[in-house]
Amino acid sequence: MVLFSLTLAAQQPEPSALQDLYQDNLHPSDALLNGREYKYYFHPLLSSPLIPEDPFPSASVVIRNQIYQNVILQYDTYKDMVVYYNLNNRHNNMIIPVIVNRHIVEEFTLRLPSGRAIFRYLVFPEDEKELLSSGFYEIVSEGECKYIIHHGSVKKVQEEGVVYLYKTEQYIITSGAVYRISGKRALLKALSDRAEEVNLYLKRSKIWVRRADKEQIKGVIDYYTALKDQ
Amino acid sequence: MKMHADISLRSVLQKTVYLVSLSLLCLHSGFSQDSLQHIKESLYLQTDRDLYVVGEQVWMKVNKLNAHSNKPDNISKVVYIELLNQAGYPVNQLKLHVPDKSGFASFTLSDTLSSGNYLLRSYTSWMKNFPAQDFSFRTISVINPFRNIEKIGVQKSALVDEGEDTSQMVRTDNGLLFELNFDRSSYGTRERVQVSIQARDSSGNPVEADLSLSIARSILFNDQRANFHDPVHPSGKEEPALPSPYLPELEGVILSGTLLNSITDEPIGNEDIVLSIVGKTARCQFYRTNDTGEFYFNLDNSGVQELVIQPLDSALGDYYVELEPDFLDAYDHPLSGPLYLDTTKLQALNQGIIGMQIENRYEAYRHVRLAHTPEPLEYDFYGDAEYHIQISDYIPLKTIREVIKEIVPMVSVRVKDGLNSLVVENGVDNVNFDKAPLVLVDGVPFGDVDQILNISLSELESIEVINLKYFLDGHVFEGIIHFVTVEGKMAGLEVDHAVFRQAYTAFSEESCFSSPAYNSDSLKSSPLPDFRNILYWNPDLHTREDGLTSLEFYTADETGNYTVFVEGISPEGKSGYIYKKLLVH
Repeated sequence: MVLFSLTLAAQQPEPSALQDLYQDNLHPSDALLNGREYKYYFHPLLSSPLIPEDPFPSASVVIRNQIYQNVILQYDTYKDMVVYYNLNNRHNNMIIPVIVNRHIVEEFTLRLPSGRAIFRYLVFPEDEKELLSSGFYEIVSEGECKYIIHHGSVKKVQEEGVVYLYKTEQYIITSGAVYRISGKRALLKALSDRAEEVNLYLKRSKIWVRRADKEQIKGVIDYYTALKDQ
Repeated sequence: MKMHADISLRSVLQKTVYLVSLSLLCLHSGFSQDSLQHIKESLYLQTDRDLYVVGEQVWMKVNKLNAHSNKPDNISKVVYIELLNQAGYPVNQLKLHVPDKSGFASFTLSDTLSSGNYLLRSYTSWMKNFPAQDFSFRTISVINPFRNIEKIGVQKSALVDEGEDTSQMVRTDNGLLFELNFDRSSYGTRERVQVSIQARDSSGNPVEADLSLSIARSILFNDQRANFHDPVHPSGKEEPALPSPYLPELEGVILSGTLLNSITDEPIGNEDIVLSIVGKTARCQFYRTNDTGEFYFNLDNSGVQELVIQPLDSALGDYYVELEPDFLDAYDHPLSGPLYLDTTKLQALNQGIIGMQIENRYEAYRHVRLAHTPEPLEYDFYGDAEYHIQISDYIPLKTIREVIKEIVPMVSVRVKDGLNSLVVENGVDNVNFDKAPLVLVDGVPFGDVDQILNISLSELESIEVINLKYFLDGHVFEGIIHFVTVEGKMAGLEVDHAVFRQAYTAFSEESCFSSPAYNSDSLKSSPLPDFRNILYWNPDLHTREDGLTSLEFYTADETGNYTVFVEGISPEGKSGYIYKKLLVH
């Protein structure tokens, strides 16, 4: 059984004047400044597990149903942490990065080379042998058939020192089962009840699954969902 | 009369306070009163029936609406429901967590209540800023057969409806129309009944409506059931909206109050205070009081919990905390008149009273009636600790001092001028922090390290350590140490007398309705008597895109007339209801 909390985006935001009045009185301080100090454990010039690489990346985050735009966020792909930089949060003139408490982060959006990426924390049961573990995932498609991407890093010790090799893995979750999408065969297995039609769609659209970008895979999922809805 | 005069005076004073508080709150927040006044909510309160016997549960549903469009809305997440007696004083109060556009609740009618008419009053915190006549009201009648029953008035009604015509159907048209059909014309006892419902708009188009459905003895329904606003003030005679000292509750219950100096009674402004909840999970919230000493915390747990509010600076001794009440004062309008029972219905009512007593006697044997309390997702405010030491995992030691020295990493005890203190080593540069860490015992900040070191080790369950700077609510803590005891009740530590401690209920606990399903021969022949006055209650019924929905339930052991009552609201804010007789023979 896969547990999700993906419904937030569908909620209607409260009228902004009311929301602002509430936030100003209930949470007057910086809502993102909630967490412990982030300790750099890598040599940033050699290899960084943080994405995006931009030193001041502009992002947005949703906390308590409130959207905070143009904040400086990075995602630690090795430790699965959201790192926040408040330019006023300094010590000895150095900005102290803070690991945002994951329990309060409902959603955050980063601008990655692959495009805009929305991340949410997904909870997977730990007592079963699941393909995925709980953590932040990029949510590309929601609904009955979910398409998510895990952004991770692998630590490797090389001659020049420790490096973190960035890699992404794509997954489809449908009917409670998780499928890792490594190629066409895996994709058709995940969408097996419409495999024939999906296969034709791949050929017609000239999509090479192994090299497809996320928008192309999302197109396949949209096509599959439309077939199911008929 | 004196009481009403008192209440009216209080009402005037309250409005004056609103006006003053308004300016402060809005000025402080930089909002114009105008923009906020246009945001108005209203509620649509539904009950499973109109007449109850003490000891029974009142099942309710509430829809949150935009007061201007009447469309379902979802601004406030907390709804207050009160049952008021003839004098306007509450005899039952609920704080309902409604994260969606509608929510459900129930409470049991105490057998200390007198027979009579009672008023259900519902509102949100934001609605408290507007005249009380905008609240939602509903009258219910309560019979207490064990107390002064002879005082209930009886009157003969011209409307006698003891017919057995199950095709009878009544419906109102406030833009939403219903069709209600059963699979058969009459039913035996413990038989399955299938019901289909169709919702349409006035043009005949199917509607996806949000409904409640109730099936109870016919005697328990009034002929006219509806929500009303102020029972005294005619509509259109609204007072101008009052400015706003009450904040909207967009997450959970707002606990607000003032920090005051215990010697001068003056508010203590710009003081850092912390709210904590006694328990194994640390759920601290920090706040700096505003210029007038006020503070606001958000609480989102159900059930009773012990709150602790104290200044972060333990040197501040001369203070006390005054909390704002969650509910409004007594209702300062006369309520609906006394309860009169229809002489033609007394026999049926008597059956209902007997039914209630039988049901209460056998309730303990019904495994299906389970209280439902969703497990809250609980986590320490600091997330996962860097170090978690489970005391039982280690060889027994004698004192906590030894445990800290031998087992707990990054923490040491320092003695200075005969006083003990705890020191945490910074995980970033491996040098001790300059400032003292935030020390918690069972979720509560506790500065007396000597007392902590004297806790018996058999009472200690675990110690958690965060050896990094922790940022929260505008504060920086140089490390956190959390001692968790086996009982989770602070192990009898002596807390400063000025510290505010109080049992508090944020949300009322939820319960869900259930009824027996006689879907097998063994269940059907069960010797457990079934004399339910209410056969079925479903507050969460929705018609589909085609306007249809269906459900099934089982009749009980009592024959007679029952009424199926459906009411609801469409996404466009159109409401309506329908009822139909169901004959059990």
